Amino acid sequence: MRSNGKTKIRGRAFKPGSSEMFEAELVCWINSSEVLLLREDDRTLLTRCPANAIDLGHVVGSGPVNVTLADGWLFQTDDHDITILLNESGLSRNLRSWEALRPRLVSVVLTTIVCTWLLWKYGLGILVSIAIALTPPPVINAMDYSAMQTLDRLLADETELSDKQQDKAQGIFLDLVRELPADQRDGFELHFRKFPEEFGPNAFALPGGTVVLTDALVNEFAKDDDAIAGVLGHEIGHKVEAHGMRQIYRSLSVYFLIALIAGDTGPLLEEFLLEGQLLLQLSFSRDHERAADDFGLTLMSKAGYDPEGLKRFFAALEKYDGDSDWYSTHPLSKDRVDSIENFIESGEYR
Amino acid sequence: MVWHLDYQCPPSIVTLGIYSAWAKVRTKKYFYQNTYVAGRNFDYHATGKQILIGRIIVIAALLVYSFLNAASPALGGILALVLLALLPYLLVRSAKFNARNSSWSNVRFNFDQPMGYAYKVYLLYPILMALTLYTTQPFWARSTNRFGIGGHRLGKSRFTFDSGIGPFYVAAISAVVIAAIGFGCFFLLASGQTSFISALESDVPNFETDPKAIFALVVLIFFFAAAQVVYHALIRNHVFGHSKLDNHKFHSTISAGSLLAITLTNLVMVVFTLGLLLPFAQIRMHRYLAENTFVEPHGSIDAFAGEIIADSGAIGDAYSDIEGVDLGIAI
Repeated sequence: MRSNGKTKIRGRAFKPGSSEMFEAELVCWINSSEVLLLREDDRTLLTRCPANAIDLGHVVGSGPVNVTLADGWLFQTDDHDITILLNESGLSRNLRSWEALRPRLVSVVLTTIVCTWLLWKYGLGILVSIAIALTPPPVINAMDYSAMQTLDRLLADETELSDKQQDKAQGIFLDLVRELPADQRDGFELHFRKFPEEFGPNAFALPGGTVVLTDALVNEFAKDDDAIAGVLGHEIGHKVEAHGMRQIYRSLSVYFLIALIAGDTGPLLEEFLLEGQLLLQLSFSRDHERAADDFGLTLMSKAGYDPEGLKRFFAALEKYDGDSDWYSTHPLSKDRVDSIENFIESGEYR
Repeated sequence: MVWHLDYQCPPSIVTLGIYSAWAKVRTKKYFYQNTYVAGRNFDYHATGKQILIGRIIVIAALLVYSFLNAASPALGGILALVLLALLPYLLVRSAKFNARNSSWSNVRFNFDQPMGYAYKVYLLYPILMALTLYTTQPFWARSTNRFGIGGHRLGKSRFTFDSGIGPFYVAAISAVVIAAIGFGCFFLLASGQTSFISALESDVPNFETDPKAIFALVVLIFFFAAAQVVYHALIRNHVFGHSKLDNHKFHSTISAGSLLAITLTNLVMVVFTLGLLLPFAQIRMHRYLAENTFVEPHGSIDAFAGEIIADSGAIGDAYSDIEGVDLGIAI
């Protein structure tokens, strides 16, 4: 590659381990196995070094190139012909050439954006699935246990439902769980708690399969088994599709990616990036709600309940809604009623 | 994210996470090599592999921590205390790694401070500061700069910093006053609107239907940024002015107004290009800081010398990257 016939490069030489600097010249004759470092002013020899013992280091951008000689002398130059003289590796040369500010950098940037988007959209999902498969079940069960303890301490009271009411709900729950494939039935437990009034008729599922109904929900739909079945089917859907675990892993990994890839963003920006990804996380959570709705509808109709029940539940919930959904973790009840109607009409659960 | 990389996942998906270690090195090299003081540049010598190993260890540890925390809050609490107790150690490790892998004019930096001193500055003093309701924050700010700057060496020459407490109080009080004005404006702008106050109280703020609420929020963000920037500018100028390397003196001429303008325009630029102009924003900020930093040499700058101490333990560095914590030196 020593094609342009240049044999001398001008630059600065630094004594080993010292800041002492000389204007210098690196001389490398073609076919010579040795490189000479000469002082510029009086042409005295600073050091000599076998050509194959020179370390070109990592050349970055169009800035100065640092070359380390075998005995520790540093030669620095702005003349990039040195990369030809010293046979820069193809990898390093290509990397630099693609990083250069040329029109094709646009394609590099676009590829990066597309890759980032693919990573966010699909790659994270795959990695999260692997992570979930690798998480030992006892850890997940322990999360359920400690979440319930925390709730009991801070928010929830003992249920005031009668045994009869509880047994009825447990019966519906069993009907639904029985319809699951055998390998997915583990870990399901139904609990009842009395929550403060502002929570209204509500239900939630924890990652290990603990499902909780509020007293208000059981009371409000005391005569509507189909509505209860709809809610329970929805919560069972969250557990089977591991939505809770997905959100935990996803937010952790996105946090790491932003912290590591964006690097030193300077004041304010990092906060913006992290808040921004929280908003995106919310849309993700709404997708999960819709998926759980679909799962629940299929499950409840398999178990012989009427999907209209879930619709009645959301219709009753509408009075608790705001009027906008982009910052919400759940889709609006009105939208969900519409999509349940579509689901029933399409008949895909049958 | 990278802790469970194995043959199961297509390499293309994970390269972004892994490459980030090499990207960090390349970016740092670019910035260091193009930053000159007295006609000579800096260089960065860590390798991507070292950074990656550090990151994998830290991420694995943090993942284990967050799961133990979710599984048992009691155990998580104990681990949080352990992590807190490790913080000074990790900060010193990070400073050592970065110093030993950085050079100026062919001479490596180094960092050393007794571990006991680190625990005093980063564990004991913050507790005392909290007990005095943060009225002693300036003393803490001075001690972190003393610790951080005084621990650094260029070759065998040591950096020193010392000064009176006055300027630290001026900076802190300026920041508090600006933030307080921001809060005042925020409540003034927002108070006419009962809907906004009630929206704040419920968990569903109604920013969408209320442009005045958004305006109030923008004003608040502006004043917060201003407070942060004014503090940074005052402290940086003061600390540089009172730091020495042997007999060489330093000088910083940052203006709060320019720094604020750059910070805010950078923010707008990056947000509206979805991050595309982030490199440009970083270079702009770096250039402004570098152009306003001066060295007054007293004696020869050819006289620095030292040895290279290899340091490949990047755990502290990875931790400070991920958690965004550092020594808190005003640079």
